[in-house]
Amino acid sequence: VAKSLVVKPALPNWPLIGRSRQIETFTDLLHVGEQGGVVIFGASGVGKTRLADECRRIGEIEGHCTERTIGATFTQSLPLSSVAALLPAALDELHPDGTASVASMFEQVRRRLDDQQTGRPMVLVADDIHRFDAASLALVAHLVHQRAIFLVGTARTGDPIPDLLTALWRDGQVSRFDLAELDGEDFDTLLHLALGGALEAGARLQLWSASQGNPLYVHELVMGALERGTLLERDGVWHLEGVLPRSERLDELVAERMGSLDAGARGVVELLSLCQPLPVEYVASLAGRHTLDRLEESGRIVVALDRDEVTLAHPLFGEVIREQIPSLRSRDIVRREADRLQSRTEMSPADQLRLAEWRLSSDGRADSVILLDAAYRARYAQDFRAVKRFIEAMPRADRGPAGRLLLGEALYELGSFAESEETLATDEPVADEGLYLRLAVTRTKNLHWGLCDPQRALEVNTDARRRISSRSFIDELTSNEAAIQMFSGHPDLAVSVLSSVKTDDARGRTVRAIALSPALACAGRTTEAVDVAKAGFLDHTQLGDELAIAHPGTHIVNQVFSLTDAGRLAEADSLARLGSEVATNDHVPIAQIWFALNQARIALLQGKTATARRFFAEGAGLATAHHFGGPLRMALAGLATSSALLGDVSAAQHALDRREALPPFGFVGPEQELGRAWTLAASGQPVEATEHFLEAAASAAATGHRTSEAALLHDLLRACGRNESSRLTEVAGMTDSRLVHARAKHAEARLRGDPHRLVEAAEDFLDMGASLLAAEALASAADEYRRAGDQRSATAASRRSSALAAQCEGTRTPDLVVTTSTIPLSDREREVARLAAAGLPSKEIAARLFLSLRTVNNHLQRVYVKLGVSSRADLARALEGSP
Amino acid sequence: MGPSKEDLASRFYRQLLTRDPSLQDLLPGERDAREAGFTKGLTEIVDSMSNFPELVAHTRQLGECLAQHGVRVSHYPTGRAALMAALEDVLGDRLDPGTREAWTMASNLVAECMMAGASRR
Repeated sequence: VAKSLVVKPALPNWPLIGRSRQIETFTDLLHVGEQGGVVIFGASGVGKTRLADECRRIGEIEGHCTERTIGATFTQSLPLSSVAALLPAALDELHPDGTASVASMFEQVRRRLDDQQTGRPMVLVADDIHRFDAASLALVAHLVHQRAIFLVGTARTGDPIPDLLTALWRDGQVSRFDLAELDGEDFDTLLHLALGGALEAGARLQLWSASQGNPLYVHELVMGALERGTLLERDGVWHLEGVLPRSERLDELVAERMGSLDAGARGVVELLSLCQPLPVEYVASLAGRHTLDRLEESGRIVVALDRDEVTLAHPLFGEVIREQIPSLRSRDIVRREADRLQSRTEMSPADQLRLAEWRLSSDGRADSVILLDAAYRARYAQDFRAVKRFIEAMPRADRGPAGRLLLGEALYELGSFAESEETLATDEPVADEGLYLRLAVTRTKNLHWGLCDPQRALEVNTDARRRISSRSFIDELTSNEAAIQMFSGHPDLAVSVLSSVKTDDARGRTVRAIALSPALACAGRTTEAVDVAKAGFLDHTQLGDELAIAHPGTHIVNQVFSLTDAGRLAEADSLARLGSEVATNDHVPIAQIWFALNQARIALLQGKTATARRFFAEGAGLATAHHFGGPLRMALAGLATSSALLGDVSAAQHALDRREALPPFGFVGPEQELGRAWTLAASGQPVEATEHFLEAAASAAATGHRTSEAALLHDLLRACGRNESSRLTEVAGMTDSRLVHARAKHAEARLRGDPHRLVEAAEDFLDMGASLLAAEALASAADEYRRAGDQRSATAASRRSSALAAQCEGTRTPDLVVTTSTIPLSDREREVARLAAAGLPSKEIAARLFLSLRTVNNHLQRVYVKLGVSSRADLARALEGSP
Repeated sequence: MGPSKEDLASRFYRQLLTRDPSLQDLLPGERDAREAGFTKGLTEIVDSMSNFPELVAHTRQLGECLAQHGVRVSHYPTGRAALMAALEDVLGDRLDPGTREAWTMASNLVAECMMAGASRR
């Protein structure tokens, strides 16, 4: 009772979303005076008080005096206590002889209010008005009728409503607002406004599942998570790390919403909090139909007849109620349910899992057979915390290789890499070759991806192959070796290792596809790569539940990767979007990370650079949260590239600095170097940038990364103006990728200064949806047309270029600059102009470009003439102003 | 939107009036000026996207201004639907699911800020 008296604190700066219609109606009613108030109905936490307070504030702004009062349970017995604030200071005045009529007393209050006001009724916020004592309610009704006050009442759905109150809106004296929980769209808007930035999809899902759109729960969950540092911002994206914490206040709110219950109802609610969902007839047999009906009507439980399930109405209810049950009683309840379940002749897989959970929580231990079985179930539901709990509850001697395998994998998935290695790396002999294989493969995965030690992973793999005799298992280990090679930067070795694997079973083909598809894509054989990924996915779906094999989503990631390298961006984009949704809903963080990184890669090629940066940031945040150093390194490289392309050099440099602190990671290693190369170029170090591009391209060539090599050489041209056209053409001859072909065509056309061919290259890029590359090619075409004196074509190309560049989210690349000057700049002039515009003195420019001071000044002079400017400041503006 | 911005403005008003012809009375001034105003307004909103506090302040002010011209909360869903339909007209295939989702989210956020501004919250 004392708690309900505390006026709920206002929520400063916390946005009020989805309530504009009610606020507008309130304002209208207040102006027109036709009705004497509003009563806001809704479940607790839905924002009734918040809306009422907002109405009060608006009333104040509109020049009304306002008052706020609250109906609390214990004051119901004291007459007029709820409206004490409206009464004169001395009650004696009202009835000196104790006989004054109620009517005259009410009139006195009304007159007193009239005297205080200047023609505008007082706005009276009456929180929990359904709890007002009868006399208070009668007085309020009287004042409403007389229009002496404008009532803003709140009342909780499910609680009994006094007739006097019902009569108010039935007679049209007040309007009734019914508030509901927020829908998904308003929920997103609320979080975006409250946090001032985007929320990662998995975090959004967690907050949504926990709150179900109840605004007060959202507020408490977000504030609690912010306070404890589990909700944090990384590169502009908000991430949730670990579980959502609950606050004391949230518990109070939930308890308040549960309200008081009789013993029968309490029993049902407690049982559900520990063991939900339960069959309808079963719960009805325990508590009686009537109790069930009442609990359902008051919104405390949900009875789903189609699924034959009773559950609590809100996910938070169970958590809070569970903690209020004394531990002995909760043990008894759970034990009883476990006995009931075990006595049944048949148990579904879900029941087996529940049985293990219940035995563990009621008795602290369970039969090892049940636990191992439950661990398998939990594994297929991707609940690695449960796997760990179940296996660790087994005595060590009972675990066996299967238990070790499950535990080792769970530890890896949970980011405890050293512990995983410890669990998996024992000399205990394993009789079953299949299990031995899975232990070895899981161990290499942990060594490679977790501990970032591909060398050690290869050793373990080789050792395992020596100890195994089955042909198909040897093949699987060979595929595994190829995967380690592939994802540590050697697609060429992966392809050659895999050529010896001629497996015929579905598992063998599935494992082979995981390494083969990306290796082929890197080698530029993109059509094959896409086909292998597709077939791999189909094979995988034939497998059923298998251990020591990647998530089926891996094949989708591979397909997206291959489609991107092929230049089939639209297909890649829609597939990545689909995969990302599935990964988020299935809670598979590593898949979420790969989809984010691939979506970023696609966006980068589409010229949606800001979008790419957001996806890289999302990937980086997730990789940090789940301890994946390798993908984090890739994400940070991408952050550097996208930031540099947006002209944000300091963000790019910051990402690179963070990346330096991580262990090396070879997957598309050369391509990762785009980050540093673009950053160097954007920070006015073209010589160093050129060197970096060339080094990375050479390393790509040496390791069979053909699509990456093409990207590096093409970007070298775009960033620094250095044209390696002949090598690009050579690389294009080795691949079926449309993207690589278009890159080569672009470079060759630039070399020849052929405007028609540049337009052709632009069309090729445009067909793929690569708007930025198309815009750049068109800008160069415009320059060449101008040089050739074809002003009309130049203007057309320039206009198309600008239109495309405008779609590129603020991307600024050198080729986009100066497309409007009548006489085009040469590559060298452009380079000098950019450095000068960035504020570098000629001497510095000369040093950076290894030119003489005189040459630099000559270049600058020509730039000034061509652009029609006379100072460095004007130069900056001229470059800035275009396109 | 680049150069399609002007096109978007005229399609927006066409969509808006098809949905609710009574809105004609609320629309200010000459058609050209109105469409230029819409383009300018939308451009300003998109430009301020990267600066969140500025976006919020700007859209609130815009909402307050529209309210003074008689725009009501009930007009916002119509306006958002008209905007999405106009985008579909102009962008065609380029309005892929991601772009659509982004516009839907952004337009709800902007609408909420504008309505908050309208009631001087």
